[in-house]
Amino acid sequence: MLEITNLRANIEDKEILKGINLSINPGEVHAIMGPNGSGKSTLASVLAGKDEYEVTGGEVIFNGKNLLEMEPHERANEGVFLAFQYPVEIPGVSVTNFLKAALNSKRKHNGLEDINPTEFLKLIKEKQKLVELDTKLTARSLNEGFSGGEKKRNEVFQMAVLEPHLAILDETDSGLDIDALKIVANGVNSLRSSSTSFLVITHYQRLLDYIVPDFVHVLYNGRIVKSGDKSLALELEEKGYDWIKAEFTEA
Amino acid sequence: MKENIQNNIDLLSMVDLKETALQNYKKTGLPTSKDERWKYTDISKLVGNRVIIGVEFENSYEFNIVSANNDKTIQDIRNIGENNRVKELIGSVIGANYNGLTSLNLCDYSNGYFIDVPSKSNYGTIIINHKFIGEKVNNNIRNLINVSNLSNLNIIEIFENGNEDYQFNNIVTEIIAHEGAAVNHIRIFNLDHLSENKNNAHIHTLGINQKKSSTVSSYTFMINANVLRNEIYQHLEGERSEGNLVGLYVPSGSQHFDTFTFVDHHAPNCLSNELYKGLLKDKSTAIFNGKILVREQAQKTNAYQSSKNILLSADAKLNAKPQLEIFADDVKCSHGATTGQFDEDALFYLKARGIEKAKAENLLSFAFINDVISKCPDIAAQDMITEIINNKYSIKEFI
Repeated sequence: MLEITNLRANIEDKEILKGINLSINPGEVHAIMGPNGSGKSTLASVLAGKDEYEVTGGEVIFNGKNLLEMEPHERANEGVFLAFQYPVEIPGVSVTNFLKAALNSKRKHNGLEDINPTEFLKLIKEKQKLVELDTKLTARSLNEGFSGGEKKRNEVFQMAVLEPHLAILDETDSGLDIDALKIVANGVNSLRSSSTSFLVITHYQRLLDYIVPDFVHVLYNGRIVKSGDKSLALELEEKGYDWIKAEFTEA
Repeated sequence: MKENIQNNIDLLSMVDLKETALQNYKKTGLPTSKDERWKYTDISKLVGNRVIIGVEFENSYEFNIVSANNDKTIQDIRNIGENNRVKELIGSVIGANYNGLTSLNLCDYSNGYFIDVPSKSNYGTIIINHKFIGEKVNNNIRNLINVSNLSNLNIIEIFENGNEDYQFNNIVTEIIAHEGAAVNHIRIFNLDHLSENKNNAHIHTLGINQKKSSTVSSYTFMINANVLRNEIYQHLEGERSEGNLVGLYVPSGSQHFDTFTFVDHHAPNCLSNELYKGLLKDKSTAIFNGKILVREQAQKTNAYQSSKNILLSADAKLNAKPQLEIFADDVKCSHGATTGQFDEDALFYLKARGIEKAKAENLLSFAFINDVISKCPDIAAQDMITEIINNKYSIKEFI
């Protein structure tokens, strides 16, 4: 479903991704771990289409289409979803209105009519339960004054409504206490299906206790230097990143 | 007999006032762009040759009171000739020598209203619809609002015209809020919107005098007009008075909206709060010049001012000039002006959820201006403002 080949990307002429190769099949959960500054969030941003990153080489094929040629909104409408590490506060735009706009954009992309208001309300109510999101929050301005946990739950809530094929979770665990982490993880697990794949980016193994990955990759210095199953995450938790750094630091 | 003499003196004082105003107008004339406060709007060049004193343009203006609780409270200023209340109050905020434009207005006003709310009266809402009619007219309109002790008043004023050209409307409104009075004053400017290739100019000078513990909140929505100048002088004269200035300007095409506000803290323990926002399209121009003065005796003043602007086009021009002058030492003041485009992170967030750029900008535009509209204390007025802006910008798609 997602095929990343030799992907290279710069920010302001500094090379951050130095040849990423990664293949994700439908229904799989891949975790990307790595020390700070290794390029994890850059990979997430490049896949979502943030334009401050310049792709300098390689390709990304998503469901048979060239992802890198699409505008960010087209990628989203094709089924890519980025759960932001730092969800943006947008005063004056309510969660509900925003989601309706997003959902209808996707429906339009797929040749469907706008969702009818009753159906939309039903959908919202149903998905809110997944992440135990307070009904009052959805009437409020997007992320404005939300706690860290509420922001992350709101990301997963949006994911549940938009039903992506590929969900990228960019450090969704950062800033969460254990209870919030469990709620977020439960929400994500409920969305796992044979047609939805996940790319879970995290610094710590903790999240992977709850969202159990099929594959774990270690990203270091812009490359995937090690891949394995969930036991690799446990090894990293135990030994830290120093041995990776020692083994793979360029001379 | 005694009464007659008194009347003559009053009549004389009114004639004097008008004469003083006329002399001041002759002396100062209309402001030019050399005047710092009129730097970006050369009003004398625009309308200088259109000023005709002493000629009443027939049927060039009318106002309709759409809703009022008590007919005696609001009167036509022309029908109250010998009314001592008018003579006593007119010019008490914007006097005969205030400036060229207001002097012109005072010496030559031909129409307007007088609202006199008695004390301890919860008056409710008055809606006034102003309509400017006819081409090549120079209307000087004078309005007077007096709200007595412990009374409340909400006024909604809507300014409209037809498809006329070469109008010069010079309006002055004075508000006197006595002790403990509370006034909400909402103005909606929806002028000249049928064509932008016209040469109309509208100036509204609002003067506010506030006594002890009064609150006056002004909400100004500048939506359509060729050239529109919004000038506000708010004098916090009594202790513990509160002044709020809220405004929104959304010029497009070649529209030119100029705002000048002056908040004058005369007394201690007062609060002033000002928020003006602008969303500029096409080749439009907007000016925000906001001044706060805290006089030496005005200790424990809280004064805040914020101006935020978004330019939707590279051809739109904005001049923001916040000014703060403080002579008291125990005060809390802040002011800030921002001008720019939409926040890139916010735009990307919306795009990453499937919303295309143009729609994302619409959504953010609506959010930006709705922040101001939602502060308007009248829900029906909010709806009307949203409707007019939506007709102009088609931004309501997401509501």
